[in-house]
Amino acid sequence: MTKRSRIPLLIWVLAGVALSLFFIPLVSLIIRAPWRDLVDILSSKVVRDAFKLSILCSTIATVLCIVIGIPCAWVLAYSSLPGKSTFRALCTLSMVLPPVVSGVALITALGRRGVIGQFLFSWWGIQIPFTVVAVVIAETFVALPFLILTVDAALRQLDPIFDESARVHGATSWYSFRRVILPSIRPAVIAGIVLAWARALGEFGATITFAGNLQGRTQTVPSAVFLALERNRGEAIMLSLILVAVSLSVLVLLRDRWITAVTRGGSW
Amino acid sequence: MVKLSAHGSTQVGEMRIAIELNVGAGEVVGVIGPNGAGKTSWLRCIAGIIGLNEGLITCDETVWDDPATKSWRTPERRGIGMVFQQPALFDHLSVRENVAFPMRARGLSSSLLEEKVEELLRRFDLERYGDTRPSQLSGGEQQKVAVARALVGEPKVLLLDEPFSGIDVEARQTIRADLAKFLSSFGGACVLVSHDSHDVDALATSRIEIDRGQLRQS
Repeated sequence: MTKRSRIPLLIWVLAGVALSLFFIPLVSLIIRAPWRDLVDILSSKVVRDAFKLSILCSTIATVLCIVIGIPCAWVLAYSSLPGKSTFRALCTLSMVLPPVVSGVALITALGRRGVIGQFLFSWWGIQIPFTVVAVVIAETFVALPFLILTVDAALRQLDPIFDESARVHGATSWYSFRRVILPSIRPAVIAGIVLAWARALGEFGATITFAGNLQGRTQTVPSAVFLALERNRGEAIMLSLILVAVSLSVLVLLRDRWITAVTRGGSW
Repeated sequence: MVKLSAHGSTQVGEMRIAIELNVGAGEVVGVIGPNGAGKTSWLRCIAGIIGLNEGLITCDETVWDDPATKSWRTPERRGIGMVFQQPALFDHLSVRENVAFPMRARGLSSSLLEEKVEELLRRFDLERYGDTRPSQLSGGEQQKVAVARALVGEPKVLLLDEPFSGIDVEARQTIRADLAKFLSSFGGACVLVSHDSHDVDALATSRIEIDRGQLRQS
């Protein structure tokens, strides 16, 4: 008896509904896209500005995620910090928060009258909301948990004997982390970075709330899609397709090996 | 002259493990006992992977671990070479890079290092595997790489934790012979842990038996 014939028909039907839920909307984009206007849309100033800003801000946000996220994962995985599970939950909070709530939280903290923002403004005249910096902060806020969670899980699943072996044989904890631990979990690190970048690129709710939607200044591709829906549906569909293409590329880049590495703990 | 002294106790789970060990230069102390007796914990304390609850570990008058005064020497500063029960080799590095690791970790990289690494690869018949990843080697070959890595830094203390576990009988005899030859000229202090009295009889100059964390006889 083959594996397939052991699956009841009802299960096949329900699985088909699930696959259709993904398949039909995406195919609809392709069917309704104004392909004749592709070049005009892509070469318009609005779209070029949105792309430039999206690539720049998502890249900076990803770099920030790497610089602060990997140390955070290291602390969570290997330290004996009291209340670690609470901190772990805090780090992943923005993953489950509705993005617009993240935006409201960021404004409350860093707005001109915010908890921290009021001092930034009154002491140094620094205003963060509705600037490119706000876009980067919003994207970092939502992307960071993807990197932290992935790397933290991989670190916790890595056999501690490798770090012990490195330390006994002359490596400081920093050297061991750089030359032994991180290379050992490279698939998870790369998967975490790529997922963080893709999340940052596709971020909308927190960005539009905290940074606004100012064309040429804070309008990213997702924000441009939102605006285009009211003004020019064809443009919205084309921009959406480009974001779908980017997301597909991320999946192809990750491939099964790295997706499995993430779920299995991220080591070779 | 090397003198390693370890006295005290540590706690591993529910078991309190007493440690009582003096090893001089050129000596190989065999610590023998059944699985779960606490033998590996002795080595982990000496290596600095875990700490004593009470007692003192010194090497040549240098305090490595003294809970009473909170003195603690980190593992990388103890000048130890260790062979773990599983080879614990780094698979993202080649065999040659694994053997060179202790020297590079200490910031040493020179033609002398390369000579030393090649000499060890030759001694353990690993030359042809220099550019191979450890996972492509057999268990016996991996353990030889682990021994070479432990020796490259000319440690003053060598810790061997069940160095023949997981190795087939034939490879075991070869490695045991290689190790016996090496230990006969090793000037440092060596602690060998095994559950197999044949290994201890073949390699050790004295033996200590432990069971359930406690010394049975010395």
